[in-house]
Amino acid sequence: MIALLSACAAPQARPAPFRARPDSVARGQLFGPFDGRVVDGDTQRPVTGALVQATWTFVSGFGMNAPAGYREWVGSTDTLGYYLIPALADAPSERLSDFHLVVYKKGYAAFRSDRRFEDFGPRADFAQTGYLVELTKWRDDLSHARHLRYVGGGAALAELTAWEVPAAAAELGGQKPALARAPVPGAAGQPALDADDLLLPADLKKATGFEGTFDVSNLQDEPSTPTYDSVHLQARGRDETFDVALRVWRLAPAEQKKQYQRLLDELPRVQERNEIGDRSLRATSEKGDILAAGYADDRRGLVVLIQCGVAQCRTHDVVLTLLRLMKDRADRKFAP
Amino acid sequence: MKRCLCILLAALPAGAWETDSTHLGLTEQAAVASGVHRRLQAALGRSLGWLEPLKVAPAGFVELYRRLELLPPSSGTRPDSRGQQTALGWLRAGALLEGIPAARNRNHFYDPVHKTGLTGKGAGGLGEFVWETVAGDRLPGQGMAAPDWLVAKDNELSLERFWLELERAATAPLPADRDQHLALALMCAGAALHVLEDVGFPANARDDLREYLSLLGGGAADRGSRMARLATFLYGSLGVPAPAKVEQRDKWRAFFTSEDGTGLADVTAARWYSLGTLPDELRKVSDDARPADVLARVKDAQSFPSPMPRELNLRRAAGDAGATLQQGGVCLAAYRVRDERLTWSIPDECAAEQLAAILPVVGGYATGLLDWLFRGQLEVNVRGGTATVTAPGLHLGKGTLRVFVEDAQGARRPAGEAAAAAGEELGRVNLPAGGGAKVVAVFVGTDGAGETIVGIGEREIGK
Repeated sequence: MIALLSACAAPQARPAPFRARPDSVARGQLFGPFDGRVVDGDTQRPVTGALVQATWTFVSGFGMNAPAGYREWVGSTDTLGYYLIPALADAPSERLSDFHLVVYKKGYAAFRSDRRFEDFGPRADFAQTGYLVELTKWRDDLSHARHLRYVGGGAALAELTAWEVPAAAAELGGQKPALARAPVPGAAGQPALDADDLLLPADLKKATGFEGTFDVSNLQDEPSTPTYDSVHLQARGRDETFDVALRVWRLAPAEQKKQYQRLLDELPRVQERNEIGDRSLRATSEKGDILAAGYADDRRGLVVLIQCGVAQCRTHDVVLTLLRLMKDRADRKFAP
Repeated sequence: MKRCLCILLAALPAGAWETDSTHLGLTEQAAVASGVHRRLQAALGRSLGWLEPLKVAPAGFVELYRRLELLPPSSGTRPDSRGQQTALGWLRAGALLEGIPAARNRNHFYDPVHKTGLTGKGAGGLGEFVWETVAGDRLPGQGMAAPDWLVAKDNELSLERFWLELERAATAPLPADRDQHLALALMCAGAALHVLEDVGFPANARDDLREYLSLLGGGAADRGSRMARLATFLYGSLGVPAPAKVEQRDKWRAFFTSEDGTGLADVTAARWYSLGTLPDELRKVSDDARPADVLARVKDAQSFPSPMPRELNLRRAAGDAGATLQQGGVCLAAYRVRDERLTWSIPDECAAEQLAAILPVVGGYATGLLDWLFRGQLEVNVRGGTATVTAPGLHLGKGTLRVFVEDAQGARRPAGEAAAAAGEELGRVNLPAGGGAKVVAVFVGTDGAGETIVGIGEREIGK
């Protein structure tokens, strides 16, 4: 009896339904802290700037329990895709019942720590620390109504998913997802350009003999849009002369010509060599520590640029080898 | 599955359906399966249907917002800082608010055999007095029968409130006021669904308080229903299965209980055991006991007439694994004989099978009630300055028909009123000169079954 009564006074937490770490059988703690990394499920590139929303819920009551409050933490992934959610500090006196995490970035299906998106079944692999969130790219055949249910609520998420509302309403009215398609944000009815698979870390290592690890992310210059995408292959623990940057534009003919001309005008020590595609160029930074090559493909409306540090690409020939590989993949990926 | 349950429930022991998971899922599935999305679009002019944003001014609803603030934004039930969320969000909010505070849940029981709500007598072996000593006034105790609670005067989310708010959602002069009334009507509908869904939980249809006194893992005072916690673990809100068959009834009470035994409480009480209403333990069940004799004793040891075991496998029950009682391919209970004692239980694996069978049925009743609440859809036709209002397929009884004209700014003003005629055509109203953007018709009265109905329809002028 005494134990029962004293238990009423102290803040309590129910057992966590997740492990402490992915490689552990020890049970995690609902209070946290939580950490992990968010990557693109296809390319394993880190997803930067993804919204991370953590929610703790509390219940009260004896026998019949009722919601008794919550705590929320909203943040985003860093440039390498990592998130760190501090442990819950100001917990109320009610019983901590549940914790769940939602991760979302436009262009991807959201992730929840408690449920899978595919079938809304329980997710059994979530871990408190060291967890890897693999986001799945959004596809046109996915249901917006289902996705909005999955994401749940909250001001930040509602704002980010507002673009899906009209299509979701159409779906609820009986239209199939593909017919109720919503335009990807920032696009006039087109999906964002995706250059992720034009050059992979393995390709780079094969061409340059580099034995280290690359962290893959977007360049922080401009966001991905239907006409532009970038990839930053960052050599972990090395200076930027080991890094590689890719930029790809896919534009209407007049804009494509302007973009290529802009490269010719703005890149340092540029030479037009016409070795690849309809036109191509080489460039070298003023210090000589970064080499670049780019080409234009008029039929596909493409302009592709690769910049590589000299510690990684010792000569322009290496850069051109990489650019040719990218062109082969772009030829297959983008219809003329 | 068995292994999964053993591991995770040992780690996650977990009350009727839990408010912020299963109720939300059941209610949302009912919303999606119902025809209300299209009625919101067609009859109430809400082009986004369930996704239409509706605002309830926080300043005017302090107590409502105090309760809503207990819910996390991620629940999809909490309006933003301006007081706005989708129509579906308000329905979900109502389903949640019906469970806050926890004491409301005591009014969500209906035992159709004894025709009572929660009596507090089913606390189990430890006894009501001891539980009251431990839990004090936190013990759920007694409650009003669920159908009576829906029309109780002290229930601010009652059916009477629903009809009033729904009517005002069409008749209030200003758009902002109509938004607010529609949101409130949806909240009342969500609350009604919550109450109905609860009588689909076996313990609530069998006056079983003991079900709610299981340890859930958050300390000695963390008590609740293990079966409800299991439902949360297995399905959450998102994974609740879709309704199996949408039930249709002429009267709202028939969704709960009816003379022919087809109400949700009726079928639930008859089909399932609950933790505290399993057959009592039998002693002196010897190895050579005749199953027919034991069956007769089991019948006397039950507080409800059904379910009733038809046969027992006493040999298997004496084995290490014990035996299970099955009906329709679903486990009803497990039983075993040890030291000449026949005991009954509902293991988690058994409860998981039951949940898979119960939830689609509950969803079907919830969908039916939601459709019933919003069944009043009128058609309005405007020709030559006269609005003709019909009610196809509704078989309306006595009531009043009012017609409003809405101007380009969304303001509505009365255009005419008439006692509705019997038959499909309710009446004709001459519209005032000066025109407008839209004509709106509202019928308030009863249907052919004598039940309250609010019928709404609208037509844009010139279309």
